Amino acid sequence: MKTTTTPKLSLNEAIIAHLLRASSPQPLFGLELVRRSSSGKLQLKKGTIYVTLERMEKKGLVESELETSPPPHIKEGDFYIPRRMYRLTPLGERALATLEEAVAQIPGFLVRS
Amino acid sequence: MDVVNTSAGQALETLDRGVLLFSLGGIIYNCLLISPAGVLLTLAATLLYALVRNRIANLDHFDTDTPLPAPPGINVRRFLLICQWLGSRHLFDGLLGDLVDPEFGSTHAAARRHLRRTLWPAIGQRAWRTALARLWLDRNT
Repeated sequence: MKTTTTPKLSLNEAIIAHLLRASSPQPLFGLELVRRSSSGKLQLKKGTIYVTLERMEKKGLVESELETSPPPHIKEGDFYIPRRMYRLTPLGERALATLEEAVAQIPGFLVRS
Repeated sequence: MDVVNTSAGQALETLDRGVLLFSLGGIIYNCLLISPAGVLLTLAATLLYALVRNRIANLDHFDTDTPLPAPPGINVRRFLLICQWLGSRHLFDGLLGDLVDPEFGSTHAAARRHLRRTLWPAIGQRAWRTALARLWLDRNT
């Protein structure tokens, strides 16, 4: 990684980073991230998650690798392609921590409203 | 998009910026001339450049020597071509990987519906983000 400064996170990137940190060290695939975000007020969308994840990988915030074994529900003859699993990098953790520190500076009455 | 050689990547970005700025200039000029044909031709030329340039730059990222998977009800070659145009290997792996889930990949109709619903927003977001980045308007870089 060439950049030394911590990259800024967009709202969707922050949600993804938060979910990946919560599941660490277990990596997650895109659809699982969308499902986990659906319990919150801010939800990720199936159509745009992969574009955002790719962007985050280019910024060095996440890293990805292909799944090594199929999930248990896959039977012989079923369609299967290894899914791309994502995990947060140390830079991503730092970017999320920086964002959380910045949010903590916001006066309480603004956050609660 | 990922390019192995950084200087080549920067040169391509400069080229993209030049094309985009001239394209915007051409569209504005043709609007002033009230020439819809001129606007459409400029748009078509820009689109053609973007698609072909992305495909060429990303050919190496799509290993087409290995047999492509056969997802239910999906023309995977056409899908691969769209992802190459968009220059996104993550989109290819991600959306096909979604079909492993029984909710989306159990029937042909469900798989096609899933791709139809996800591909258009992905194309829109990718094009929008790329244009913003090339015009120095992306605040989150």
